[in-house]
Amino acid sequence: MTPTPPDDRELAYRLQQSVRARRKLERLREVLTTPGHYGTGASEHIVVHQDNKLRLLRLVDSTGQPRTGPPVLFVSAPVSRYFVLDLLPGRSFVGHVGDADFDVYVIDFGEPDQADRFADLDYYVNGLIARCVRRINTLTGTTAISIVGYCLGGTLALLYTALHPSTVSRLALLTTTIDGDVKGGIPWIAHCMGLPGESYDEPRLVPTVDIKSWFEMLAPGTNSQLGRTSDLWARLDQPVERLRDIRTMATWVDEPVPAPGRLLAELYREFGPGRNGLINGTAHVGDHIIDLGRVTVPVLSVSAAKDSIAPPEGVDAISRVIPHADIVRLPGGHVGIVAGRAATALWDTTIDFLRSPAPSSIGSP
Amino acid sequence: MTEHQDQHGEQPTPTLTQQWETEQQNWQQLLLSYTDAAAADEQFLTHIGNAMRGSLLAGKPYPGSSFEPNRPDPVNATMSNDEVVFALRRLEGQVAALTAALDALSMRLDPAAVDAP
Repeated sequence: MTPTPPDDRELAYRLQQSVRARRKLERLREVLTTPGHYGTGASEHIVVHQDNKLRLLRLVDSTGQPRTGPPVLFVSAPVSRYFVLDLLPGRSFVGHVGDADFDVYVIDFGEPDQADRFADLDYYVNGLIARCVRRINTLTGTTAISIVGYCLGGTLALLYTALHPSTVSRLALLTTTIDGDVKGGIPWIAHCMGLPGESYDEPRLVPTVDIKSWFEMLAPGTNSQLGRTSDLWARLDQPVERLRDIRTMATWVDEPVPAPGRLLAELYREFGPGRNGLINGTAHVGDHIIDLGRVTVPVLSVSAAKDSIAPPEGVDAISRVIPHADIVRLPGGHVGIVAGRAATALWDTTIDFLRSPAPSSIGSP
Repeated sequence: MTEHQDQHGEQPTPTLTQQWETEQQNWQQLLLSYTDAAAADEQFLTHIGNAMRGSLLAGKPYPGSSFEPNRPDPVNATMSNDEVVFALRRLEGQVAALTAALDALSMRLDPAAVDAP
């Protein structure tokens, strides 16, 4: 039987669909073949310290000179790349703070190898971060600096501040979970699913595919391969310039860092659901008990209203253990408030906090 | 050609069938441009593979891809050797910190000595 030829209306519709699909694929090819700002920080910097895989970056001005303002150390999560804080020229959190005349330092934890799977909290907090702070003190002649921690980097910064309070002048925690019993987030879902977690005694280097799968677990529909592909196909209607921005962000979101299994095991054991060591006052780093009462410096804690990775209620719970902390909740998601198009709200909030005069008796016993 | 079209140099609107044929040629051009891009840059195939997984990730295969590098090799992950290597790295960091602290102390005690050869 001979198929019936399409009538004009049907042919016109098919033609329209064909042109639209072809243009999407033309845009995709253009995006994939055009060099862009993918996977590297945006701001000029020099490396002032190296420690195992860690690099301590110091931002420099347009003449290549370090700035002379108050030093600020940025700590991002060791399971992701640091450059989310320095995404694009004109869209860089650390660049924005540098432009406000702060002497900005950024920790790039690098990518751990097999031997680094034994790295624990003590190594990160009392080792890597402590040595970075000492290096900054040497470079700037200061004895106390401001620290800004993002996500898990905020947890490390908080633990460091509790253990070395005299070396920190201000602490800003961005989307850092304090109450591990709050519903949502990767540890809570893992707990509900009865996942065994990582082994402390026989740790593995947790591959990126596992770390990605945990994030995908937070939104199984939209984060599934089918959901992502469908989302990308819809986005290909957007201008190439916008797609390049999306690609820059994808290069951060879709490329986590392998993680030391011992570190993850310890984080889950100390702060995860059921233990909740920061709220219950039972957290340890090495042999030291964490006493958040020692954190007497000004503290800013920012949560994101639509954060599925660090639920805002779990972030804002810092008021229960550090009552003098300033609590700010911003619209947006976990990544969007730091590097999205409306991120200047967070950047300016942080700068205001870093600039504000230090009250003399905050949190003093 | 009509008198009106001749005066203004306009082409007659192609029929739907002609447009469909042109569109098929455009598709062939597109597929050739993809082939050319793959031949010019071997990473292009990686990027296409990522896009088929819904990601615009640049420079590396999407985590979990069959050709993803950096997957830990369980055979080489010997527990005792790696634990010793990491212990040495930990020690190296502590020694570096101690050296820096001693340098700072000597500078405080005798600033001139730091500049001495």
